[in-house]
Amino acid sequence: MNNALLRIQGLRTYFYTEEGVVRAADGVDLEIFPGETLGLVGESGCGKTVTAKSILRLIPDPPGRVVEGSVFFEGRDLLKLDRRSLRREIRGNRISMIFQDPMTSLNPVYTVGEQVSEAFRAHRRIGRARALRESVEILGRVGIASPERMVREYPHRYSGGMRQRAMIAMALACRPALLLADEPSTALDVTIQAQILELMKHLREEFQTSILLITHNLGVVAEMADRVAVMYAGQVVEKCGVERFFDGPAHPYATGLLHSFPGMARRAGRLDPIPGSIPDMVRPPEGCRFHPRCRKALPRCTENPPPVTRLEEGHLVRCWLYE
Amino acid sequence: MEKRSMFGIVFRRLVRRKTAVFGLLVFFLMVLVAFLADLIAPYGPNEMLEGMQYRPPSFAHPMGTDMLGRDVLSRVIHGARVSLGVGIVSMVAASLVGIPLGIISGYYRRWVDQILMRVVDLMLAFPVFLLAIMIMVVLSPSASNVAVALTIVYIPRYARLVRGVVLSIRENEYIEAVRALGIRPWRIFLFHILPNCIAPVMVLVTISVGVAIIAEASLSFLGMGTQPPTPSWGSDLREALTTMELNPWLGIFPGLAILLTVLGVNLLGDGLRDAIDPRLKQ
Amino acid sequence: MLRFILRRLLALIPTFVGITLVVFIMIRAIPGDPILTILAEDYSEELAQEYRQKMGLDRPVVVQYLIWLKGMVTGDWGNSLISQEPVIREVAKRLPVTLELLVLALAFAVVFSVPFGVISAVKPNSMPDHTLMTVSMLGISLPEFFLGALLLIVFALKLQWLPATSFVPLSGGLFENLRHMLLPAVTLGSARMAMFTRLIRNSMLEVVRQDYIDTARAKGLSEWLVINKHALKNALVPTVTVIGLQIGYLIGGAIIVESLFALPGIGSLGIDSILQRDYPVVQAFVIVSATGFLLANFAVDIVYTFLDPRIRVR
Ligand SMILES: Nc1ncnc2c1ncn2[C@@H]1O[C@H](COP(=O)(O)OP(=O)(O)OP(=O)(O)O)[C@@H](O)[C@H]1O
Ligand SMILES: [Mg+2]
Repeated sequence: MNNALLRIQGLRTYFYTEEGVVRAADGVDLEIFPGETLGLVGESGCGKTVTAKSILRLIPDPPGRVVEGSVFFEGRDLLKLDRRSLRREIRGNRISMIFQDPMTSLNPVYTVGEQVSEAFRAHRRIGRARALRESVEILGRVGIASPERMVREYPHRYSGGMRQRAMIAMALACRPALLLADEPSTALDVTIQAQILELMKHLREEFQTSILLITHNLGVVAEMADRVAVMYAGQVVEKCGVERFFDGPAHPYATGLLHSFPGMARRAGRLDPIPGSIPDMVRPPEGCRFHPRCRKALPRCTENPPPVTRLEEGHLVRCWLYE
Repeated sequence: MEKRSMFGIVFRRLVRRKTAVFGLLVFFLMVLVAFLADLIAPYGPNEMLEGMQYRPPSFAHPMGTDMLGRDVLSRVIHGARVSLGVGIVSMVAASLVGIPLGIISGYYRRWVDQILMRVVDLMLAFPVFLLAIMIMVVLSPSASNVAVALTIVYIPRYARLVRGVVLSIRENEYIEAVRALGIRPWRIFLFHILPNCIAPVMVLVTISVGVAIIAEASLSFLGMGTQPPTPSWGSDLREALTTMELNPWLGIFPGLAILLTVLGVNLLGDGLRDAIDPRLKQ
Repeated sequence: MLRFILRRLLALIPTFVGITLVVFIMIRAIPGDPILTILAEDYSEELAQEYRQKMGLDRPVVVQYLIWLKGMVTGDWGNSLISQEPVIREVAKRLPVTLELLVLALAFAVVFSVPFGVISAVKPNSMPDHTLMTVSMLGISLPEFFLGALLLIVFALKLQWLPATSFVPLSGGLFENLRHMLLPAVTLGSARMAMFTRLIRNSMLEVVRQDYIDTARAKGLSEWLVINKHALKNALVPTVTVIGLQIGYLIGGAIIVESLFALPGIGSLGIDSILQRDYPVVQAFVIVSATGFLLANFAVDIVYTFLDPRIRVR
């Protein structure tokens, strides 16, 4: 089990705000194996983006800070790596990231070609002209029509789907081992979503890239992921293979997620949303963080945080029910 | 009730910032000095002391005396009247005229708006200080005319601001709903539109008072504003200039008075803007 | 692009006509009979009548305005009542001085405010940030004439490093010219520098929160590139608009600074003519200043479109 490409252990990322300390990631354990796609799911605000950004140390400081934990990648702890190596060897090179909203993730005042070129030039000693040529090439590969012309355009001339393609091109420029994809299709309309997912699948084969795929959409998970991790209020509450997950997960929150997802609920016969909403991340509930919303809560759930239990090989759950 | 709590929130945010509190204190101190000038000033502003010309600062005259043997401290204290008087009166007057113009323009739109905004645009085509100078060319130079000039200069700025607010409120459906209920226009102005204008207007007033104070002092410095012997920081500095190398206190103290007052007003304005619109704050 | 600029330029004409109208009204609104001023001691009823006819003052106001406007546009600006010289010649002589002062002051303000604003924004609430914000707040609150007077006394009179109220034109050598322009330009530029520093800081703080900054960092770009390439250019877009508005203050400040340092520019010409009631010169001063402001805003508009590709036309 020590052959993980990326291993996050006990990650705690806090934001120090006027309202108090927001514990956005509060003891996250995750691992991604070579070549696999891990789906990270959970309600809005549970800390998915923060976890992904923590990997590349993109948390804005102030107000945020990674206060504890380790992120081992290819034998090194990224959280302890010097800034220079992190920049030169990791960011955009071995690990890339694409963001939720393609409308805002490209810089409006530079041409797309310039921005994609930068990804090449940050990691390889090549000239402007060469980088631009390679940009044309890779933009073509991600399905931008007439890339020779489009490299010279500014992002506002691109549609949402095209921008996300450009983002993917930028991310894959240096053939990274790991791609952090933060809801890459959420902001797009359905047909474009499908195209982007198709493209990612295709490129995953071609580039042999592992993917951390963050999403709300369990349909996307079913489509893309090998394994699933469920996050709740800054912690991973369940990790298992994708079949196991759709067959019926162990954690009541994961079950709730599954039942509240329209596509899945049709099979179960009814839509069944989880009552209540995500807790205040400044003062999370005592004991199990999910207990105020949990139908199966036991007395001890309100008192002590549940331990992580291993149900079978590769299936972990953080719940008192399985103790 | 609703409104009081809004002011309460703004005030609490305001006093949380040290610089804003400092600005508030300085401003109130200066207003107090201006009101009580006759009581605090050790001498009359134009009282010439026999044989006391060009005395450097001393215990009896903390800011020295000028070429006519007048006590500089007393002149600086009385100068606060002109400075703050012109600054505050002109901005309050400009907002009192500008707000209704802006509301009318934004509410009725069409030709009223067209004409008003043409005039406003034309006035905004002149730099603030140039427009003030132009008006002072027509009026005779005096403190009260400076106030008139600055009022005229700022009316279009308030009208423009308020019009913007009104247009954005109009987008809100509830004004349409209120209108559909057959409520009279003046009630709509008074109870629905005006309250929304208060915050942005207050911010503009505070920020412009500083500009107005500097404008008054600058006009007086150029000889086009307050005329001697009326004590004014700007014109006192003008008179001090020729001998300032030998008697620096003559210019420095009026200058510092302007700096301190404007600093106070600016800090207050800054704090107020942040308190009203925390989005702008880091 | 050229057509776009031309179109924008044409759109300025109504405003220009408006400006002339305001100036025309202003000059007419001055209390007192201008003939009285012109004729002074030679005044007699017949002579006054003759002058009125000669100057067209007996025609309808609209006609008077049109005649006057034609004169303004064709460069017939009349003679100074004091020196009897053609006004346009005096203005032409003095305009370069004012333009140089404005350019130097603006350059001073921009050159220092950009790095200051960036330094402030990179580490908000740090020591450098607090220092810069305090100093800039003082700078904004300091009137030009007071700062100028202080600089004049310290550097020109006490230390004698720089000349006081004298002037050497560019034709007298660049170095000498700059030596004479340094204090006025710094005086005029300081408040704007302070203001721009704060603007750029706030704008930068807004920009560094944007997603594309994360994108730039995630690519592996150096912090230098992220800040000075990706963030700064975006931060400058809104700043440029405000700089346009601030040029109005700069023009107003130039009037004061020229008077204080006795620079032979348009501003000091204006003030002198106002104090001497030399109205042909006054109206030229106002029209030239307001038109300059109009053109400056136009230039800023063009720069703005150049910076922001979203509104660029092709
Ligand atoms: N810059 C910040 N300052 C303060 N709090 C922050 C900041 N960034 C994130 N947070 C907090 O961290 C928590 C987790 O946010 P995160 O963006 O990781 O959620 P998410 O799971 O990605 O949600 P979504 O599905 O909506 O993207 C939230 O409570 C959020 O308020
Ligand atoms: Mg997110």
